[in-house]
Amino acid sequence: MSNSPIDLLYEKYIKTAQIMSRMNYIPAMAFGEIILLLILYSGGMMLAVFNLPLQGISLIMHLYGAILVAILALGILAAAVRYKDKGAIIISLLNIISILFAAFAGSFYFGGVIDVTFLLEMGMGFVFAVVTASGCLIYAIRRGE
Amino acid sequence: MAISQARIRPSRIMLYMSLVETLLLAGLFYAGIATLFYDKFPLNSYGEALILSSHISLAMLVGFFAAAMLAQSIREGIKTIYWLSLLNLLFIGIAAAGGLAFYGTIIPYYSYLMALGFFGALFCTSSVLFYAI
Repeated sequence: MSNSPIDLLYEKYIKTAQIMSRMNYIPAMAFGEIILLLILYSGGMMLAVFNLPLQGISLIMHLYGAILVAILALGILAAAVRYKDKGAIIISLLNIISILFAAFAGSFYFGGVIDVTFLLEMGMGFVFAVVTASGCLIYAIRRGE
Repeated sequence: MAISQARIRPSRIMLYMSLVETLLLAGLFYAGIATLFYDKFPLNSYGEALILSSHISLAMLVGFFAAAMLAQSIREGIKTIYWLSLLNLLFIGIAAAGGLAFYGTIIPYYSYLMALGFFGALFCTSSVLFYAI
C-alpha cells in the first residue's frame, strides 16, 4: 500500500461510497434530504425573522427545497420497501407523513388563509421531518450492509 | 460487519435521555415560533410573557439534558455518540448565546443564529436517539 495522497483520497472515497450505498442508497438520500431541509429552513426562517414579504430568493429557497425534500422522501420510502426492512419502512413512512403535514399546512397559508396557526403546524411537521430523516440516515448506516 | 456494529449500542438511559431531549426540542421550537409570531417586544400582557417564559424554561431544560447526554456518552465510551453529544452541546451553546444576545439587543440577526443552532442540535440529538434504538 503506497502512501501518496491520491491513494489516501481514493481509499476515503471508497469507504464513503460503501457507507452511503447501504440499504439501497438510503444514507445518501437521507443526507441530501437533511442538506435540503437546512436550505429550506434557512430560507423560511429568513422570511419569518426579518419580516420579509413573500417573494424573492428566500421564498425560492423555501419552495424549491420543499419540493426536492418531498421527492427524496419518496425515494427513501421506495428504497426501504425494496430492501424489505420493517424498521426502515416505518421510519420513512413517518418521514413522508410529517413532510405531507408540513406541506399541507404551508400550502393553506400560502394559498390565502392568513392564519398563523398553520405556520406553527408547518414548523412541527418540519421538526418531525428532521428527526425521521436523520433516523433514516443513522438506521440505514447501522443496520444496512 | 453490520451485525457486529449493530450489537454495540448505547445503554437504555442514553436512549431515554435522547428521547426526552428530542421531545423537549420539539416543544422548544413550538414555543419559539409562537414567540416569533405572537410576541411584540417589549412585552406588556400576561399571554405574551407566558409564551416567552415557556420558551426560556424549555431552553434551560434542553441545556441540562444536553450536558447529561455528554456525561453519559463519556461514561459509555462510544466514539460516534461522544462526538454527536459534543456537537449537540456546541450547537445548543451557539443557539443560547444567539438567543440571549437577541434578548438584550433586539437585532434579528441573533434570532437567525438561534434558529440555525437549533437545526444542528435537533440533527445531533435525533441521531443519538436512532443510534441507541
